[in-house]
Amino acid sequence: MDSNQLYALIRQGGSARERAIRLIHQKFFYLVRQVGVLRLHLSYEEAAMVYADAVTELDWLIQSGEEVEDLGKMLYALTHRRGVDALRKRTTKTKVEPLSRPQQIVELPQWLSEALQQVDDNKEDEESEAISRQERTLLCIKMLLEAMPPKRRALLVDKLDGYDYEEIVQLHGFKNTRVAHEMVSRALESLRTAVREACQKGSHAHCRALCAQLRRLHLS
Amino acid sequence: MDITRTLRILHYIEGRLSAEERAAFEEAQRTAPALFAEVQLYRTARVAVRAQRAIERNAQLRQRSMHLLRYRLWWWKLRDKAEDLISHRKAAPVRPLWIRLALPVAAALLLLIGAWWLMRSGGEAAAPIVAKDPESLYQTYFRRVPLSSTLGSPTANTDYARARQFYSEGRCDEAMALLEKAVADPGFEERPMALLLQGTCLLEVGNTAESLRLLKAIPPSARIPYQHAQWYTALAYLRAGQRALAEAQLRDIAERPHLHQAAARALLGRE
Repeated sequence: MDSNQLYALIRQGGSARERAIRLIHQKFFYLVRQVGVLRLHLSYEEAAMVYADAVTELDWLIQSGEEVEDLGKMLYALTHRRGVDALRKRTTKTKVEPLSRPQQIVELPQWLSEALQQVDDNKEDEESEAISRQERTLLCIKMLLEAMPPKRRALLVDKLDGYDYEEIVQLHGFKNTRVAHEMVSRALESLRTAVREACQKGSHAHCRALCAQLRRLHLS
Repeated sequence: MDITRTLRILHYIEGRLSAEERAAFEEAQRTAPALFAEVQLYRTARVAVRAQRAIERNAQLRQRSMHLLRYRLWWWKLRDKAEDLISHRKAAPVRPLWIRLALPVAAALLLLIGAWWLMRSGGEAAAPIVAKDPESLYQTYFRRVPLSSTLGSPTANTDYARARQFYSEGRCDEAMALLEKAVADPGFEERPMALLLQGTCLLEVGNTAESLRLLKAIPPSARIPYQHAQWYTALAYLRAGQRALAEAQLRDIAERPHLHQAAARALLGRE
């Protein structure tokens, strides 16, 4: 399967995308040695981790609409970039202050924080403040999703992750796409209600930023 | 609940609207702040879900990387050694290429012979799946789904609850009638488990073809019923005398963390 086909499969989303990621991961695995070990002198284990990060990042970029002409070249560049990050991390001790980053906060990989920066509309914040707010907002949504009934949550997560209705029907055993549409709509409604309730109760500290934003927009 | 409105928002944030529809929808958002806020909420939820999935996918890829590395490491290290040898001796008197490569080639040959020997001696000649009668294997391994230990929330569907009760008591006929009723309801949320119970009942009475059809309809997202279904599919193949298909299914189960991994490995003689 060539670069264009793999790219198209990732853009398609759903199970096609999962298959493409597996294929890409296997096809370019030689970059672990070529870039990570021979070029950057990482250990094989470190290089394998760096390579996994690069594949995840590539998937994220393509899903976000980035045009990629040659997957191999792109993956080479990403592996190199993340390898350099790993080398830097090795030499400079981490600057995370434990008190400002409670343990429950999701630890976002660096590339993901960078990617989220681009979708954050609150540009005037300090960078660290923005990252912390993003992490809290993601954690809030995650908590609310986890509080939903498991089947409804699984359905909503699959839909928001890019599965189309035909696949949703297969995956969740619905009779037809009409039922799938209705179930997805109900699940979204549940999420909206959960956010409203969380904002009214004010019990979840992680939801404050999201609630404030939605209050400004008259939703909660 | 306005399904059309909710789905329209979803299509908008997924970029599935045409240019005109998109423009109209953006205009509607400008005039209705509540709609705009709802779009923002779903957009945030989508980013959160995608970020969470990316983190999970990254963990899986890291695991897969370590797995692949385990198989390639010896070869890569061998190449490292060979390349070291070649590059370090450039300054020394030139030796014939066959001498420089003799050690890595000999090591590779030894490894290949060792692997071949291991594959031969560790084969599955005495595996029950090959040595024993499929029907007797089915009789030995078939047990109804243990409902007491099955995950699943209590359900308000009383027919389904009664069907589970009948199933546990071995009253498959009565269970089947109630399960068919429950599955016919489009809003029924325990469909995968119900299909599993139907499939195993049919398997028990010997209707393997119909049993296989139902078991294969269980989606992978329903993790526990799906793993049970994989196991009962293997048993259905055994009962139908299709040893090769059963073996392929069991290999699939035995190679990953699975509810029935131990039993599958036992059948394949890998204990």
